[in-house]
Amino acid sequence: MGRQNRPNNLNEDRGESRTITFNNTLNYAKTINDKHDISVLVGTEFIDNYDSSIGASRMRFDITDKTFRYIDYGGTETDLWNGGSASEWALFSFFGSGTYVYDSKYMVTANFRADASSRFSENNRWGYFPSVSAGWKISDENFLKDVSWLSNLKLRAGWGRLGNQEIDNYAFLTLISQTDGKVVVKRYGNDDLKWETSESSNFGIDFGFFDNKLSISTDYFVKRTTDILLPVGLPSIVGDVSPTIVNAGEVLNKGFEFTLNYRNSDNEFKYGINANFGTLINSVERLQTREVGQSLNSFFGYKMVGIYQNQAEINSYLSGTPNPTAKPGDIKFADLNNDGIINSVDRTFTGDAIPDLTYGLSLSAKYKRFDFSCLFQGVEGVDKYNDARKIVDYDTRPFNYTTNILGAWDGEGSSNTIPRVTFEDNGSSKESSIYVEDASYFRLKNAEIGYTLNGMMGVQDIRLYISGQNLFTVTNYTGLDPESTDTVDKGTYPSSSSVLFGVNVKF
Amino acid sequence: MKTIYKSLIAVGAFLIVVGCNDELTKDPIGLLTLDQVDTNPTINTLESSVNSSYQLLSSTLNIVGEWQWDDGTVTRNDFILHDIASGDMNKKWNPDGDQAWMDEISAYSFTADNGAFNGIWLYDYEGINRINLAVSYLTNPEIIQSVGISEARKNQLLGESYFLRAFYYFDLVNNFGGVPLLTEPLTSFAQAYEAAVRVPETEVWEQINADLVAAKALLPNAKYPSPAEPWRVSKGAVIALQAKAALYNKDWGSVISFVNELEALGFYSLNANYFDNFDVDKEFSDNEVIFAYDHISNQNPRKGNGLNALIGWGFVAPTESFINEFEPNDPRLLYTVDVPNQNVSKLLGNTVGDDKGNDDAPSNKIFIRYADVLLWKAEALNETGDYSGAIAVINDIRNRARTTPTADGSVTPPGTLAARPNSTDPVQIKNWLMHERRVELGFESQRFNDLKRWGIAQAFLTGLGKNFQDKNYLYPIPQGEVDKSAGTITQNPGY
Repeated sequence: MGRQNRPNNLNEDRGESRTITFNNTLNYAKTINDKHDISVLVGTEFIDNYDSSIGASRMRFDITDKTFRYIDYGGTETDLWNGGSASEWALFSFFGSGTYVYDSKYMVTANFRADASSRFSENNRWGYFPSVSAGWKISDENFLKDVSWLSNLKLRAGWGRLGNQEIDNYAFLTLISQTDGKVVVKRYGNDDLKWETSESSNFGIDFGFFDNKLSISTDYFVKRTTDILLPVGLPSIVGDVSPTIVNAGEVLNKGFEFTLNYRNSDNEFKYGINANFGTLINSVERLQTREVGQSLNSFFGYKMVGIYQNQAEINSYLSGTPNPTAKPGDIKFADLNNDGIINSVDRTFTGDAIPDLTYGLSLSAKYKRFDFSCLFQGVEGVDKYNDARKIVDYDTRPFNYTTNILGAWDGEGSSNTIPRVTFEDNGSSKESSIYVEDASYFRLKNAEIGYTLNGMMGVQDIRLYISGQNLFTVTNYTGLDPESTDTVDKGTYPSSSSVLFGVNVKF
Repeated sequence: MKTIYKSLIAVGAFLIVVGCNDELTKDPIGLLTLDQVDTNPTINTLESSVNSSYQLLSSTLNIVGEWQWDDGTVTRNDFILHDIASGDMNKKWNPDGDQAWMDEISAYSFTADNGAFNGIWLYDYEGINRINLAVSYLTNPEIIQSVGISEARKNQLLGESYFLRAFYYFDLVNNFGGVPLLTEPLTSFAQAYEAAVRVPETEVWEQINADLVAAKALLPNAKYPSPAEPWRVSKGAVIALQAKAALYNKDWGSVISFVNELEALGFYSLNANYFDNFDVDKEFSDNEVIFAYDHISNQNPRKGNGLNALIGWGFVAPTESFINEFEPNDPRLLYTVDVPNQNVSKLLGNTVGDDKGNDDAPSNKIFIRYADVLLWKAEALNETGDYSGAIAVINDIRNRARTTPTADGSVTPPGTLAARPNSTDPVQIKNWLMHERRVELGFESQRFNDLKRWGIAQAFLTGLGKNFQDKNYLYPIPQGEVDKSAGTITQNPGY
């Protein structure tokens, strides 16, 4: 279906944002006997925000000269829309923090904060968030003082709670809209709405070797987020309402982070390496009242097991379906309960949008007048839902397809992966694993080579360089960009490859 | 000195806390809370709450949702779920791959995630929820007193609301069987889950009947309760829906008495010209239309008929089986579809193809008209043994069709649509009735329910090569509803 093109357009939007922050802090710091460092901080903070905006629009113009590009000069057609809205929020906090350091070797910090947010109802306005952390700088102990190659060794441990209130304003209220001649409930409220809390524990070790030329840092963390603030779509029996924000679940994140840094500036050839990787296991423990045990943002749908090759296969596979309407060449979905019917109970988890591993590697080097740097990054064990293929590969409308469909099924045995090309539904309208793809990638994000010339005639330095962004990517993902943050990829504009030549001149 | 500073700090901190606590209460901008409506309503709030409950009956585009064709929400789906499903209507004049989900309804290859079900479910329940809000205002004595609405107007608005709620539930119960029954606005989101349970079909019917009884008592005895607003629900519409509810429950005696009650009002008769029912120029001045949605062009927000846009894109075409049902020279055929010009005149509201492609067209959507009602009575008479009475009604309908001025000005040849002879064979009379309903009411979204309640849907639709199965006597509950309710809204058998 189509709609007529509406040429010309103009938008002019103006917005205003006002934030008042009112801060009060008291500091106390004292060193006793050169050994005991104590510092204490208490304070309050009040933040009050008011945003308002007006927007204007106009579609058609009789004259498109630059001097006519204003709302009022469109011409005879009456297209004109405008809008305006505003919102407010406020946050009030008490906080306190105390640090005690003994002999620069043992350190303990404790924090406490209490926050009250306008985004929660009066009964649930306050959230309380304590945290403590401790460190032990072992390398400063006498028994290690003489180990010259070990420049730093520190143990760290921490525990703390953090709050989150990043939701829409007024989310706890039931709201009624009385505009456009309608009186309708816009969103049902949730009087019990309260702060989301993340409780995390982490343990870490920092190593420094050879005057910190080589440093290694490792961390293990466990973070349990409870009362997660999520929009929950209510059943449509309550009408066409926006999702209600609910403290909907509990998510557990566990992971290991590792960073290595090596720098060598001793010789004329100076170089540095930075490598890091992190693993993450994410598990939704509970959602609403349900036990889950899957990753957040997992994909759920039918599982493709192949392509129907002939009618006999359909008839025997769909034995429980009277007169099945699938045709040879259609997508064959897994019949999880083996009843010969493909229906909603055959849906399952088909992919996981949270990477198992993220990593990065950056190198830098300098030799005489040349310098070089580059950054590689990548993720492993992540899936994306390549929804754009619904249109570019499988649409039932007579659209242009990509060349992916050149291998489409066109007779028994021709393909077991790409369904037939047809104006009918070949199964591709269902949410299924045919769209779930491994979006792991390894990418050269950035590389740069420079050469510095001698200064002359009042110029200190001239540096010529050539740099490239996104020069190559290794991936099996067929969408536009495996790096896009959309878990459901509807064909967002990809990051571009670019090459730059440049000159830096310093005076 | 030190103590003075300390107390100053303490007092200061206290003031900040007290002051800030007030600052932390922000009233929503541009939206009302339930409390504000309860304490500060206006007459306009009451009127709008009722008026906006009609909107879900319209064919205006994008009343809910935003241009999501395959969610089934762009326009009201009756033409898909009733006319295409019944084998009267094809999706398009020229078959193509556009909107394959509509083809699935036609072929009975759909599953519960087909957007057509999602669409009609959402439209009906959005209507019901708007009404529940309206009813809660109109039955709250404090609100009524504070806005100063007259007793007569309040009763009228309340009567309309009860009718509309019955109308939406009537559609739901026929499409889906027993459904969740909501009759009050929620006070919190959690109630949505408590309400997400299907009640038995009989309970839905009880609610429909109770609402109609209440509506009838509240609406004035006039063809148009407010002559300036002829689109409003009238007492005649209420009685007609009572008759239809009785018909669908095979309560033949009640069908006859309700139709008699309607006839006794003296407001309705068959139009001399069949097309006056649909003619844009005759809206609310004809004799036959009992309940219709009043589409109007060029309103802000829009109130026009958007189905005409689809017709302009080649949607809505007759099947061969439908065209073949018409007897030779039946003037109703050309008024329903003008095949050479591909005009669905009945839905366009004119016979010359005007407003084809207009997504804001003025043609009304007809829900109940007198010819339909009379045929219910004929059916009930036949079922209760009054054969001559039944045949007389059928012949009235045929006579009007025969004497209707034709769309192309041609003279209807003698012998066209000859009167049915006397008969005492209820099967034969029922066949005549079934035929007459199909041609008289074609494309008016009556046929599919007729096929189902006559118990012939499977035989008839299978004959057309469709894959209609026993389970299809009810449509599947939209998959999203089953999922969002975590299964407390159960699926219909077989899906």
